[in-house]
Amino acid sequence: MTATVAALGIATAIGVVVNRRSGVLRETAAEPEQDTSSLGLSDAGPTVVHFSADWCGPCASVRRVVDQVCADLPGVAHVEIDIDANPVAAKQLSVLSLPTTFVFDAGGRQRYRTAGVPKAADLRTALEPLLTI
Amino acid sequence: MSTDTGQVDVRGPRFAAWISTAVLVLTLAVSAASTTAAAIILSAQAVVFAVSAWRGPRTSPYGLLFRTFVAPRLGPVTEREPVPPLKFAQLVGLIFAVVGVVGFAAAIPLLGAVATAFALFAAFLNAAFGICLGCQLYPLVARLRRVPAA
Repeated sequence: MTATVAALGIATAIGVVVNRRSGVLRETAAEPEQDTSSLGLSDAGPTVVHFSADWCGPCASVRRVVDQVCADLPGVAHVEIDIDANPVAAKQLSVLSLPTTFVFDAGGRQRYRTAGVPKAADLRTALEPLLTI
Repeated sequence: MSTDTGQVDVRGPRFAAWISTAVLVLTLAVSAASTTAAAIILSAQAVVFAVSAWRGPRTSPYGLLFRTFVAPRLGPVTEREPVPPLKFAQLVGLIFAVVGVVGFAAAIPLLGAVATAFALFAAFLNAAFGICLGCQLYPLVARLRRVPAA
């Protein structure tokens, strides 16, 4: 009985927390110079970098969200990186789970990061100020 | 081995996770009275995990139940997910189930209960919240697989 209650209780607590945090864009702390030259970032505006793989289910949802936001904000570039094809980039950005999405500004600095499927409105809110930089 | 590497309706694995949750709760409840009975029930679940890990969710026992009795009553598929992480998750479930069976069968009920509780934790997390722990671990496994070739 104790084992059942513990397993269900801990799973419920973790499930609620993980689902609440999933897809939430988090501002990235200022980092020392990061070499982003191999990521194919735009230097004319912000870039959304989205790591995916054939075997990643929610990655298609991220693609839809990012495409929708990019259609609304033409100055935003979208780069999708297959983690199997480019493991070096995944390692460089410490990508441990899929989908993981980053927002870089025009200067190539990482500004936001999220694991899970971001909401289009959140992504738009994060990107709009970067278009004016 | 099955070459089921396509995509499946996300509702199928969630349905399977609910049944696994029920079987694992039953295992723990029965273990208080009989570890032998618990070992037998958990063995059956281990076989389901093994078949699912081997053949994929589409032709697994619970997958067949879903396709036959549940899917026809549901609306069209709106979301799919890839099979390989699901098969890996079933393999993780199989490992916990086998350890649990060994624990119950060898009269080490604590081992049996702890291993079953871990499997229950993962199954319920998947069923109730759509969080597949095995699928979360899959990128790490995929990365480890790539290392020798790098």
